[in-house]
Amino acid sequence: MATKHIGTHHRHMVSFSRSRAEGLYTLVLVPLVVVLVAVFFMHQYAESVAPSHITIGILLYALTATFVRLFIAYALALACALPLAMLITQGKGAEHILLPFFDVMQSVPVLAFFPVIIVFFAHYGLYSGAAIFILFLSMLWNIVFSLVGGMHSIPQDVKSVGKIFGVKGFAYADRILIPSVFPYLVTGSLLAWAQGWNIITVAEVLHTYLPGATAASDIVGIGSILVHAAANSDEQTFEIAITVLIGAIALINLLVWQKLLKYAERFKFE
Amino acid sequence: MIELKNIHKQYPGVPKETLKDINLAVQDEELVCLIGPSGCGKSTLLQIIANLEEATSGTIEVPDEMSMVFQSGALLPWLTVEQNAAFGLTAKGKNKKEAAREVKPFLAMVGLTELAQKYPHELSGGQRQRVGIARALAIKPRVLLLDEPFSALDPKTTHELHEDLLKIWREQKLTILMVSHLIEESVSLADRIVLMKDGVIADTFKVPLTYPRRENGLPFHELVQKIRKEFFK
Repeated sequence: MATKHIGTHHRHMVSFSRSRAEGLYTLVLVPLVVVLVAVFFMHQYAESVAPSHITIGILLYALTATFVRLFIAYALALACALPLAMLITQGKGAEHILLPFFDVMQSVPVLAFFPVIIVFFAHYGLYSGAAIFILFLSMLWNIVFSLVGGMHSIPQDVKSVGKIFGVKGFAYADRILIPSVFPYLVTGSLLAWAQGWNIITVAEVLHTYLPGATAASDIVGIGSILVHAAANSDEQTFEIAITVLIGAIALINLLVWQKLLKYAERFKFE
Repeated sequence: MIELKNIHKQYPGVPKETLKDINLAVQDEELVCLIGPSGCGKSTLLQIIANLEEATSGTIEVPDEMSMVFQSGALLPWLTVEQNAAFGLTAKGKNKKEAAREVKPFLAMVGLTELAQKYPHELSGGQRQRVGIARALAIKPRVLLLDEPFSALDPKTTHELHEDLLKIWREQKLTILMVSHLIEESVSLADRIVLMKDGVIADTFKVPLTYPRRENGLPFHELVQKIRKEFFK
């Protein structure tokens, strides 16, 4: 005999109202991404080879180009990680199958695939695409596994609050799920960016993997400048480039990650 | 009125039934406490009534307007007291201003007007539980379900919240079903006490005492002893 609820429980139609987080995305992040992507591609056409005479202007442009690549890779990783993590935590069955699979995927070194990825993207002339794709792969799993950990840490009572007040679907994700996993998202993102910065010296130096290619096939970025300076024993350029890189990472840490980590404290369950 | 008929609950992979043929009716404006030892199925039964769990079989009749107070308070740490209390209203589609206005009398009812803009981590355990009560009341339910709401609080705060709950129950004309593991608490609050053991209703006790109940009085003590005897039998 099946359970029959004679009385009808509340089934609220939730009209979605824009949250502060959405406002932030709409007002700040979207225009920022559009501007960065536009600047990035304009420069891509203007200067598609690694410069031979490095100036501070070129260094800063290279840093911006690297940052934009990382940002696009991160945005893609974030867009994929959230549904993947939600898929994993859908139920015990899904988790039982998907978690070990993704765990194996995570443990496969992404750089092993890089030569194949480059050949594929180079075929369509998308050199930056190859770098972004490898950065995306290296960032993805940090975010996915952090989000899965975060979703598991949501107290059962809090999930029940959503059900009791009829908050489900997109409203549940917006009002309970995403804020609940926010501290884990920040930690995962921090690790993902660290991983991304780690890989730029490989991701931007494409000629190593392309048959018959020269340094002209490399894409402009702080990573490729570092590699070329080292290969040419150009110590001065190397020192300036590494200082700019460290300075930029430290600045981002101070202005973005430290603030986000502090802000995330208020989202933690006791 | 809440009416449960022949409710069974069995979790997959567990040979023993968690709930066995539960029949229970709670009248309008009645305050019923469900008590029993740990693992007897009282919280599972409450969750089935709240539609948080599905029964394996049986029939449930519940009113549309139902709300719940949780053991942990279950507040959202990123929302202020006012926003937490208004959660059910904004979930219904009310805008923030409207919800904030509607929630004010309920915050006043639980004595939290001054703390409306504070965050949960700035509150004591008792204050958090009061926010949970305000949130549950704000949607104007006819039935209020409470899952061991005072179990993590100190005796003084528990006593204050008992008084608040009784006041709210009378003023709002609510039907209340509360899970508790404390016999004394149940005797001081309930019209009727339902004792559950091993997934079945073992006994039911009417509480013929008037409010406010004197916990050091002889009739109170005798009833506690009577229930205790059955509880540990």
